[in-house]
Amino acid sequence: MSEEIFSKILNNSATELEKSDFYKLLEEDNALREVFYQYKNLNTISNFHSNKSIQLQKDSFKRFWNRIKPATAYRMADLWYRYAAVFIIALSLGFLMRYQVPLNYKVIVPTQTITYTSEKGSVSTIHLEDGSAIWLSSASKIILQRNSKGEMSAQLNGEAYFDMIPDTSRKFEVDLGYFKVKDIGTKFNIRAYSYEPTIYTTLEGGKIDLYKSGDQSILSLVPSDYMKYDKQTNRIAVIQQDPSISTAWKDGKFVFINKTLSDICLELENWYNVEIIIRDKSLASTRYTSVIKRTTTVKMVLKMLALTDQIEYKIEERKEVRDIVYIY
Amino acid sequence: MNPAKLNKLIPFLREGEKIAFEEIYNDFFGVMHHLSVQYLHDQKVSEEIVQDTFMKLWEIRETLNEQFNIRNFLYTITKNNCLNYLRNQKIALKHQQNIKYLEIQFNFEALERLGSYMEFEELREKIDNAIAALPDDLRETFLLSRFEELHYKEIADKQSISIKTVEARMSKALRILRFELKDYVTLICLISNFF
Repeated sequence: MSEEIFSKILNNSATELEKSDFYKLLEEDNALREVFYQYKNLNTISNFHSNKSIQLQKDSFKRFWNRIKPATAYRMADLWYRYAAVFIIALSLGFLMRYQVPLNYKVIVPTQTITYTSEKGSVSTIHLEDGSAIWLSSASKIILQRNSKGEMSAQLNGEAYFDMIPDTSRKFEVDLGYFKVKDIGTKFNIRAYSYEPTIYTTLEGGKIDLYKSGDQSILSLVPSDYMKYDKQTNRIAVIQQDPSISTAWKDGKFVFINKTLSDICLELENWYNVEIIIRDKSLASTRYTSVIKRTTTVKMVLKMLALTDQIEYKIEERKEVRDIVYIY
Repeated sequence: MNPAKLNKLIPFLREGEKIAFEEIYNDFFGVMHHLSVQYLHDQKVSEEIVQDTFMKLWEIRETLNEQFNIRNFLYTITKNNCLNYLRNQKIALKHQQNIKYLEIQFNFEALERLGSYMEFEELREKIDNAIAALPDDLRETFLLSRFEELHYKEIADKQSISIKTVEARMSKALRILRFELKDYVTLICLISNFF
């Protein structure tokens, strides 16, 4: 038997006649058969590089993924417990009291400044002496100041809900840099993250006045008013909206009404302390409406979004720095 | 893909992350597909067999832990899938005693003897190393013949050398390989089709 035939058999390039002769020979010769098996296997192992079609591989993976796809949409997010947002009512994470001594005053005016911050993924409540309360949302900071006359002012970076006990003798105002909000015994919500282009103010009950500077009120809000202030253009828009949407965060819920995916991701980033990257830019402007408990995991939230739309995600765990979620 | 990287993918596989499966797929598809084509002589069926292998990995994803040997698993499942397929083919052709039947029979028996993944990898590595250690000119000629399946005439044209030189290089390369792989010396004379 020629080695050429042997090679052709191994390469699957032998003719039917050659195959016929060869296999009949193998059938009769036990020793030759064993040699053939060895050659066959060695041939397989030795020429692994000869068969590589990237296209075939890509297409094949696509078909494979389509086969398992129906299963993916419903898979449970039973792991990633570390994303479980523990609903902490953390009180006064930062506490600072100091006395300022302005140099150009002869008389020392004692003022009290207290800074409260709320970590990502937690909501803090601040109780004031008169029974009023302030809820401080995730990744927010509020600086409360009281002057010698007992007048209180607050500076806010983030989101807070104010439940102020009616008291005409007390003066309370929130300074947002762009404007001030003066309360007269009210429940209101302010969302003013420094990185967001808009400040949102919602009035749930009572009355608030808005001031630019000085004592001249520029606007009064009545309950259910939802005010948007555009930092860039200084334009104000007021619409009517159920206040519970804006204040849902303090009850441990995410409420997204017709929000774009990129807006939603900002909220999720803040709350779950992850970085979210939307790989497919066309997805960023897709709008969603949903109510989700904040105590759930970021994975669960993504899963819910994935149920209504063809989004997919991948979570990249990182040590010491926050994890990245890719949406594509 | 090195074992460390494979291990890093395991948590993602467990979670059913598409990207992780895609990486594994890309890494092993070629090898597993080649393996089944060698014994099944059927590209289409081989692709299905490899898909079934990855399907198995998908099914057991939640049980994966860091000690899990993915390569061994994929290799074993693919091999078993191929054996099953050949067995079924054999049964279908049993009463025909034709050439196809014999071919399937012999391929089946050869595949049964194909060692574990460890042995398989070991031998592959030895062959790769031996080829890599060849002098440059010999190696280039050898690879053109071996992996691009060119005839001596084509190699001669491509490398601007004479057919005589190609022949000389090939026999020299083979002599070196035979020596380097002398444990497999009875086999190695055939791993390239230069006769």
